[in-house]
Amino acid sequence: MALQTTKDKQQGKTVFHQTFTYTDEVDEAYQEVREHLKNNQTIMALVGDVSSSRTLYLSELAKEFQIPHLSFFATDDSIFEENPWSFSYRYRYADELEILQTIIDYLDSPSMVVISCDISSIFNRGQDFIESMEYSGETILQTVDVEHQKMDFTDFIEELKSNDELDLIVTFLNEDQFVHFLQQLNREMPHLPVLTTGLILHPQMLSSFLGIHNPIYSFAPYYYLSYLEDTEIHSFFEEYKISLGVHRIDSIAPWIYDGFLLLHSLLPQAKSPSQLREALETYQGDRLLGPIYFNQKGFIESNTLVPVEIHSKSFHELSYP
Amino acid sequence: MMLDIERGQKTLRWRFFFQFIVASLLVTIIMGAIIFRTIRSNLLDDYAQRAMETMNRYEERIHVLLSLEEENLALLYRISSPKEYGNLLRILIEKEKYNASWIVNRGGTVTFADNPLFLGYSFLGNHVFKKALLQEEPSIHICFDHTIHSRTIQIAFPLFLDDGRFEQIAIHELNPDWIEEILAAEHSEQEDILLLSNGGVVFLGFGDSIYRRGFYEPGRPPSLHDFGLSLAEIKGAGLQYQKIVRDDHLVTYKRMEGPLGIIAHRVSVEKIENDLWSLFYLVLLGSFIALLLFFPLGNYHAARAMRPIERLSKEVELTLKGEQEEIQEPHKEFSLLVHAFNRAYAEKREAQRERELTYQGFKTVLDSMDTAIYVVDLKNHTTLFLNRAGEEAWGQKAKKSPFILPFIKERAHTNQSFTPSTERSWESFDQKDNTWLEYREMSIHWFDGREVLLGMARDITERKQREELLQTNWFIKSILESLPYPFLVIDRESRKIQLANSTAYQLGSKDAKTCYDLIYNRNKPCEECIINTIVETREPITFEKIQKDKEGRREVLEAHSYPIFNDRREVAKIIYYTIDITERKEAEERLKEYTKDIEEKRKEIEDLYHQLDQEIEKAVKVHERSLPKTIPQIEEISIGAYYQPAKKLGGDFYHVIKKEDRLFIYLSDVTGHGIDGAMVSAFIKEAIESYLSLKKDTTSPGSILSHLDRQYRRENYPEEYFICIFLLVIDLNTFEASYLGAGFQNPPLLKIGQRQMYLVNSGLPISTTIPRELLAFKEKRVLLTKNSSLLLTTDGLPDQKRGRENYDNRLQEIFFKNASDPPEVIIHRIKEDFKDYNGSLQGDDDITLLVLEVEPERRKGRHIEIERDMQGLKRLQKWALSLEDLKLEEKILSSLEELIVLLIEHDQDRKKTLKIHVQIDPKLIFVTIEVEEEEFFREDRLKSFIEKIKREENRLVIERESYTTAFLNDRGNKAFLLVEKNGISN
Repeated sequence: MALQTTKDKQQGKTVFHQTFTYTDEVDEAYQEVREHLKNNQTIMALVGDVSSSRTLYLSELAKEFQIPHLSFFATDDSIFEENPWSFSYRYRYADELEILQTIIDYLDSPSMVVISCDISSIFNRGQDFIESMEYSGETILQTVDVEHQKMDFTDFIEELKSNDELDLIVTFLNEDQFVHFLQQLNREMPHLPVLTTGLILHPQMLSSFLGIHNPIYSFAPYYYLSYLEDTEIHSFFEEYKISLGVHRIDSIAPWIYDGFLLLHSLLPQAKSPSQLREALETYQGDRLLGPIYFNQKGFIESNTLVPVEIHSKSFHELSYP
Repeated sequence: MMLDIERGQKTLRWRFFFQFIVASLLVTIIMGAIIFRTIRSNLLDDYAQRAMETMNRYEERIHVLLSLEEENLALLYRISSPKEYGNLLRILIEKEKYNASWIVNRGGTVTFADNPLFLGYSFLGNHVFKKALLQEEPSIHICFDHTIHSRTIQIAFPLFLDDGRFEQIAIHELNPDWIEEILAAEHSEQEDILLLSNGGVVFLGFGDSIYRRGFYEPGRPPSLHDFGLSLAEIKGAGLQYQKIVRDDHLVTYKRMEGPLGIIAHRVSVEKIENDLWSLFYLVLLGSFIALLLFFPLGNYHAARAMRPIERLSKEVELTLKGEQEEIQEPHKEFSLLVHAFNRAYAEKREAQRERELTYQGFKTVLDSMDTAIYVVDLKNHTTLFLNRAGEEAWGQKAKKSPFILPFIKERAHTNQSFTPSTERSWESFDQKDNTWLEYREMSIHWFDGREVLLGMARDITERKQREELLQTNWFIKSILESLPYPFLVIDRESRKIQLANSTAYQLGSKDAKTCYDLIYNRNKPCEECIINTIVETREPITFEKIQKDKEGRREVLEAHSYPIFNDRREVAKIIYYTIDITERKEAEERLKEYTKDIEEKRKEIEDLYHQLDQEIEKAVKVHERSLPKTIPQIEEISIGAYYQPAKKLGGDFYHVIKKEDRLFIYLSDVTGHGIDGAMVSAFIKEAIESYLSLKKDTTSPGSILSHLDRQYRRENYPEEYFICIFLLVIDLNTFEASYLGAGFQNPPLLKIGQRQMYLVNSGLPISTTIPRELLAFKEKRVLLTKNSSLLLTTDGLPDQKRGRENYDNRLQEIFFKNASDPPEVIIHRIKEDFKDYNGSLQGDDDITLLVLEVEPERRKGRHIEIERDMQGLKRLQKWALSLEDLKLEEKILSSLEELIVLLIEHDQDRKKTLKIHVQIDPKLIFVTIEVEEEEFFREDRLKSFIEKIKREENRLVIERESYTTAFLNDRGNKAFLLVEKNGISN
């Protein structure tokens, strides 16, 4: 168990982030956190954990110690409905399909080929997209499924070259695959537009897209648009990479970042955990990331995804009538 | 005094001693801390210096390794022609230290690659490519490569053609594991090394204590947080090393030359801490030894400091005792003090003599005064002086020393002020001595200069007594004067008036001196004087006398005489006063006349009430007679009803009428419970019956109520009456019921099978105050099927209150629960429950219940009429045996027989007919015995039957565990026998 402490000055208050990481049995970690909460009366909020089953442990602790709890990953609604101290911050891509449809409309209903990898979270999105397109009468010329280790798409691209009707290639590939696919496509069909799921995108990938001529369309959180100017998000991503000991950020980092920002913005007006809980419950304001609304159960009612086109090493909001 | 001086000297000596010890200890601790800090700092510096040397060594090694690799590559490219680059890259990839290698043209496109897949890839966004392109020099960059998904050291250097043109850039990605392996082999186990990228991400790390664990993914690379470092600290790192102590480790870090990032070194400071603890214990031991040495030294120092003080103290003591005039010895250390003391002491002696003389004069003067004078110390309240008069007053106690005057002690207890700023005086009563004292007090300065309380106390008892006497006389006189009638005190012997109020002198002459002169205007005593009687009887006398007042009017007086006794218990004086009771007497006479009149009126009213009661009795009978005596017998339908008026005469009414194939049922509630209510009920009955007999075709509830409304308005009843009515018409062929309510707020309850329903239809009540246009009779329909039960009730039952709740919910519950029972049973159950709820069946309002049931198929019933004699009994037995399908068990029959025998035995007129109706369903057996005449069945007779059943349960009662109940209807012409038994089968 490693304990890490970082400091953040927020309107005169010093906020400590204390991270508990564990690889051992979850029960053991839970008992350790419990002991820590017992000995530290100044803890204002709990954040975590990864899955719903593990989040339930934290939710129980939140209820026991009456401390607000924010989860980024749990999908089990009952955790939040049954416990008044637990709130969800799961970024639900509720309108992901609608945004993709907007881009399809923007491209004037192109004939498309869809390629999906076998990672379940990505694959399922691909299937939802295909169903949605078929339902709305769009033309899908071909659908291709590949393994997630596959990096060589030359045969597939060769096949695409022979297809005269093709207007758009839609990818549901993982991050590394997408970089390779773009490099290879750029070689053979440098003007074919590409639409990808925004799930895999993050700002630090953008330098890899330099020299790619293909128009790239996707969706991204609103604050990615100002990534280059935003030092706050830069420094957060640095902290995030360092804390996890990995060399790159991944697509879940912004969610955690956003959740922490929310807690930080509410802390100055909350003098006790119960006031923080009330603030979370009634929170309806605008923030850095745009308007995000909680409902009474702690779920976000609307998110900040925007359709984007990627070029010149940055995200640009797609402007359409 | 001597003891005090000795104790003071000892304290002073201890103080010298402790000050010496404390000062010595402080010096020792400060010295120890300085030594400790210096050694610790040196130790840490030493560790840090070693760490820096290690880091420098590693940095140099990395630079050397990378330079060598760079030179090797440069050599390879120098000896290869551009055409051979492809082969060169393929050879290089076989070495494990390379992850990937590319040759990129100036446009950023890969022209050669160890993996053909990369041919044509764009390197425009690549940092090391851009740097090499711009600077035309080799460059190194450590980063994470998304295409090969690995951390990597990128080495890029421009390749020049033979003619010196710069066309291409070679990019090689070195696997950092290669360096890590080499350095780890040279590494000491006691320390950890981390190499971080400029962004703070760990790039290389070796050392045993670097753990690789984390929640995100198993075996994650270590983080700088594992070293206790923060990102801010890393960003601020320079080329000079910096050191911090975190989590028992000394961490040293610095920025490396070039683009290689940060190097951090960590070593456990456990050893330093151990050394420091040893040092700490050493310093502690030194301090302890020093403390032991300081004890004798301190003692010696204190004794030496005390010597001149002790000598001087002895001299002062002798001087104060008067054994010498002044301090004799020179006392060099205290010469100034000695000189000042001698001078002050001489002055003090002189002043003392003067004060003594003044005090004697003061005492002589005060002793000569007869007022008690006291002087009290303001601090401890002891008496400093008491003059002779004071000693006489409190002398006994004054012998005690120090003495506190009793009243001063009392004031001290009650926290009263002792320091009057100006002179203060007050009077006080001493209950013990029964004396009044006047006190005067002021604060003055006493001879020795302190502020004291000077007080004087004077006996003022005599003056107070005089004042009180004057006040008492005035008080009595005021009382007498306030009396509105004459009041006299007469001397027994002389009959002279000794005391009289001014009203008394209005009886006669103002100059009258005797009672006979004043009251009777005589010049000699009366022959029959009441004073003589009082002297004889020694008792007070009261008598009335009639006389005429000054204006000649008759007045009645009540005269009172009381004896006043002297010391010898003889009557000495007489109190005499008269009260005018003329008005009272007149009022008494008038009252007598009134009482006589009232008695006569009461008799008249009593007669009227008697007549009225007889009339009401008749009206009750009329109302009761108008209620249906019998309810029509209809196949498949059972009906039971119950009626209980709130007062003698009720406003509720119900009726059940069968006309051809229709059944008309209505319940009405009229405002008022008197004759008027009964009359309106009679009107309703009359109106509906006449309508039904005349209009045989249009018999819908709407048309009936419209007719009722029309007739009611025609009769022009007063406005205060309201008719609330619920009317139900059942088609006996189809069992379809149409219903309509007017002002009927309690919807009838209907249960069909398991379905619970409310027949809601409440319009406005029928009244002349409500315009006809507002009445809209809209009937509703419901289909009654087998096993339907309907409860109709007026508001008396559901609205009955107990505390805040009313009976409504309970009524619904009990009806819906027992809806499958026969109507009479349901009514019996509701009555029992209501009695339990209300205490009696008598409610605040009329109670009317009507239960209708479409008999369920499961229930079977038979009917027989028998004569009430032994013949009839035999017929019954025979009949019962024939009822095979009912399976009427022998025990039930014997119980029934028992009841009939009882009825025969108890009644002389045996020739009357008994109607017996038996119903059986899986839950119960219900027997109805009916006779024609009302009040036939009596409660007491039935009670003895039930008791008998219980006594002889084994013999008589139907089956064990069964429950038998018998009850009567309210007319007394029906007796019911109910047997509830779970075990009885069909």
